[in-house]
Amino acid sequence: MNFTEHIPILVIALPLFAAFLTPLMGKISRKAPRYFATAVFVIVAFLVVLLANMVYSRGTEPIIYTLGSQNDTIFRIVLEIDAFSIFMALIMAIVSLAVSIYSWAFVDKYSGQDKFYTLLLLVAVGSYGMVLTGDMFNLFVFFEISSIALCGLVAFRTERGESFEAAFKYMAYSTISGLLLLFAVGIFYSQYGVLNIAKIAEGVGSGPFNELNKIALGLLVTVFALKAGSVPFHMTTPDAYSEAPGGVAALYVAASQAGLYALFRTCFTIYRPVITTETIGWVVIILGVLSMFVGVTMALVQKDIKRLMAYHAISQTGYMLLGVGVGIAVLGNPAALDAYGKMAMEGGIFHIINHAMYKGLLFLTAAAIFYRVGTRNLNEMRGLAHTMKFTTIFFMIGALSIAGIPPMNGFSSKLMIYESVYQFSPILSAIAMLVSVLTLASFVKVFYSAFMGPKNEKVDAKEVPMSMLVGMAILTGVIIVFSLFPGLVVDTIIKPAVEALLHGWPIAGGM
Amino acid sequence: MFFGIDTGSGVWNAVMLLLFLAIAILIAFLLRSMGIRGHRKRVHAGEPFYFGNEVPESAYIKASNVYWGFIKAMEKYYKPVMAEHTGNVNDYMAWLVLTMAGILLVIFFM
Repeated sequence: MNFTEHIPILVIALPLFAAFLTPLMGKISRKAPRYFATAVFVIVAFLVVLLANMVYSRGTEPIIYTLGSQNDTIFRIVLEIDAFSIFMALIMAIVSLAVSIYSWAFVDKYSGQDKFYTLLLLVAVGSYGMVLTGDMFNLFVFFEISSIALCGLVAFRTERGESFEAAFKYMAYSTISGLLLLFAVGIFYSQYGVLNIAKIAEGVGSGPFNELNKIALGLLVTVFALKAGSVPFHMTTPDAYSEAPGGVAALYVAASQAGLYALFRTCFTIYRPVITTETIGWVVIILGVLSMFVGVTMALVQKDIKRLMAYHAISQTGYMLLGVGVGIAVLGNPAALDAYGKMAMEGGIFHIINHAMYKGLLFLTAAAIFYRVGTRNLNEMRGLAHTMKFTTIFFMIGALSIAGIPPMNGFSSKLMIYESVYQFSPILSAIAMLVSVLTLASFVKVFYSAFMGPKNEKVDAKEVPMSMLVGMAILTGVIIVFSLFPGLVVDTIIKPAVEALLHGWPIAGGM
Repeated sequence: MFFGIDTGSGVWNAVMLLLFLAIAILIAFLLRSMGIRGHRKRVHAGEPFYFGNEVPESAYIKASNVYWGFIKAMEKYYKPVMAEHTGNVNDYMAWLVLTMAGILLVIFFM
């Protein structure tokens, strides 16, 4: 048996199996689940890197892995992995590892650590599954796994009523969006009798753009924009982010981005042949601009540090939607696609990984502050830089990056978006720059309120434990590398991801 | 390009920027070394600024009051937008249904 052949399924199966073993680890000792889960995250990250190496060596031809009969068109699991899929998997690998280590100290005071790590592993299973699958029904199943596990994590702090309220809202949105997704899958199945994404794409492209496919497209855009936390589907996002314990919010960011992946996969892989006008592109662009502006302006007025950061997560999602939306809008115009469309997509996709790293880091610093100060209210904080020196440095790196200040990685991806979007519509580019200015203003407020000013003698705000620092340092390290070598990152993982999106998928064997 | 990005309209290179910053800092230190040595003792100038130099507690502005002028000026925008964030899941569902209907209409007439 060739081990490397089975890496695609191991990336999903290993954390899934480990999730069910974790409660048993809790019977050995209280700390066993954390070390076990982290070891699994390390192994999975290693497998993802191996898989990435295999994917990049094949160019635009994806890896197709089939579990089940080759001749059965329905009851089998198909994984179809190209450079865009593996790009998303790399994000999840880095963030889940950092969050797992960070959580050692953070959840130490809570009971039910085995359940916490079980849910953490299940979020990873759902997210990996969403980005690696080549099957529409499997996509729905992984979407549900990710949503249910995140819901459990939001409600984890059972002593807080607000946690249950946030989890209920998130569950209501997730359930409705899951049903809408299932309905869209049903529409495809009723027409083509298959669930394979590449085969569905072939069916959609072979005939006229009929009403059923239009309904399915509308449903899929809505569902995945909701999963990504785009305005106006963002309402539950600040509640869920702020109630999620510790570093979970950072994992939440990465899991939400699986929604962006599915949205872009829908537009490029399934509907590419029928998207000949700018309409769908403009729908994505409008969602992006609304997310950018409403997100950042709502962030400015927040006094809860995690809610403020949650609104920024919404705002930053807008940049990705704007960049890739411009790419979708010019899909029917090859000259414009080559002139600036690809660059806009590269900027949007580069921003996905940048956002996962700096927003993840910022959420970890916010949780570190909460860990020591015991409040998320910025009005009750001051002078933390006196004692939490490392956390201050990590926060500064994250804040400079999200605000797009040179030479940080946030600047690189935003510059690509500004310049390419300007050629499509100068007004959109100007809005994107304005949002960046407001983002900086917002993080200056957080920095001033939490870290500057006289020391608060009433609070014992010493530096956080080592495991939390290590979690933050992992993301900081990635940010610094991405900041110094943006060209290397773009050439190695961003351009192949864009080419993979534009290239489409071959149909899996046996179809 | 290993270090930089070619955006089509220009080139961005972070390492180059850091090099220029290092040169600028070097020049600043050279200029500083040419200053009057006893100056600091006379006027307390040139003392490094750390976060949290002595500030009376009453003078420290709370987060809620930062940017109050901007928020006041943008009141007409903020009032309706904040009013929509009711915290009521029924309202959120209404937004979901309305927006989905809007997207479906746009796609149907494209």
